[in-house]
Amino acid sequence: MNAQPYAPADLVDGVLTIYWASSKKTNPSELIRSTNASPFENLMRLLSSVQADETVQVIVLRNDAAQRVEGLEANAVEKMVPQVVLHLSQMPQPIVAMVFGQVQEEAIPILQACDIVLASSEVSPAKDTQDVKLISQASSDWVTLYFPATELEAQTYKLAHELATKDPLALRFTKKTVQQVGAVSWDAILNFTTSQQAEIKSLQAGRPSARALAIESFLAGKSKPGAGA
Amino acid sequence: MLKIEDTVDGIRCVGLNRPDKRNAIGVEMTLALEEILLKTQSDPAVKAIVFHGLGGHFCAGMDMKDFFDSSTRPAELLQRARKATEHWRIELLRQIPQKIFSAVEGYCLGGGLPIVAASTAVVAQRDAKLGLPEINFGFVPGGQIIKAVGEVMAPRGLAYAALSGRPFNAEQAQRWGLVTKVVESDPLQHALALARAT
Repeated sequence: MNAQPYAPADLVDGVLTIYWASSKKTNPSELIRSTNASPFENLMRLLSSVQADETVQVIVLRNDAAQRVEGLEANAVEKMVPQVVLHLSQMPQPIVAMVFGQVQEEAIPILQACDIVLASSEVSPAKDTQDVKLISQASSDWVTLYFPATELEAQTYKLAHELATKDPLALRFTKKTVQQVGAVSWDAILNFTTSQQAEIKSLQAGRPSARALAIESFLAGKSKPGAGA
Repeated sequence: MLKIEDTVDGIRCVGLNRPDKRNAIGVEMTLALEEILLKTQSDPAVKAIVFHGLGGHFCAGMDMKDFFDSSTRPAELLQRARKATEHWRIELLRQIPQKIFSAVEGYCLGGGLPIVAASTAVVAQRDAKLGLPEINFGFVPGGQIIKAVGEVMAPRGLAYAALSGRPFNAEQAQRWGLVTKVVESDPLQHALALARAT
């Protein structure tokens, strides 16, 4: 019996892939396959179930090249999207969205709630219908980086696996800092940083740490982390 | 640690001058930065400040060898340096009456970014590399740095830079709002021209 809510194949080296799609057959998640709930409910349930899962370091939320992010009914959108957005924003793990092709306008808040959005640079002509309004990615500011469609998947997983090699606590605290610091006043910013640093140091103490290895390697002149990969 | 040059038309050029360390901000440099900003803010002859780096790099961030837990610098000096850093980073850069301009080439990382973020205009050489590498050390970027950068940089770019620790180039920095103008060479001359025109 599989105790995890996702298929084992969906989790590779700390990177969990969740397929965002209207069609259940394209979603390999055990949870989504096993229920009749809406894609929104399935997504939220899956997110809740992996929130405290330390084996999940990074989440990739993706669609397939042949699919558009669509299939959302207006009533469901109005009711469910804010809840999905809330779930996504409360996830401690970084979420990387991978988007091929075009995106239904109603799905954009969901993508905005992801930390990083990588999208294909090829934009096919929008085909607006009465029910589905599609927008061009080229005019959007919710995309972090664009890649040619042929490279998108490789680039997304390269980034996701790179993130998964970071110190897990530092990764989660960095996400928290980026999310919260805008709401912290300049007068309170020092206290915010001090308490963050104290908390992370106490949590990192006594356990194998990428931080300790990185510092050791830097001090020995073996690596220059600022130079990037 | 700093090379200060005043032009006849009231522009103070502040050069980060520690080229062997890619102008990483260590104890002495952070104290010097506090001092020059304090002096400059009450100097009516200075109309604008232009920050730049000597030796091909703007700034490699804070000198971690000085500020790591394993630092061998005297505790009292370290405490003074930390206080000075917060002073110029949180207060002086943001409150100084003169406009600030930055000329960026080479690396511009971590602790060097608040200077860039406080600038009215930033001119960067095309091959400059900017970034928030703290995560690569298992560190969390300071809230002060994230806040300063977040005030001018697109949230998408900020999250990518902070989480990945990857450097990004001048064009990308311009798309994300951190850089005003990308040039092929001599960003200092371009920054000076902008400062004079303002």
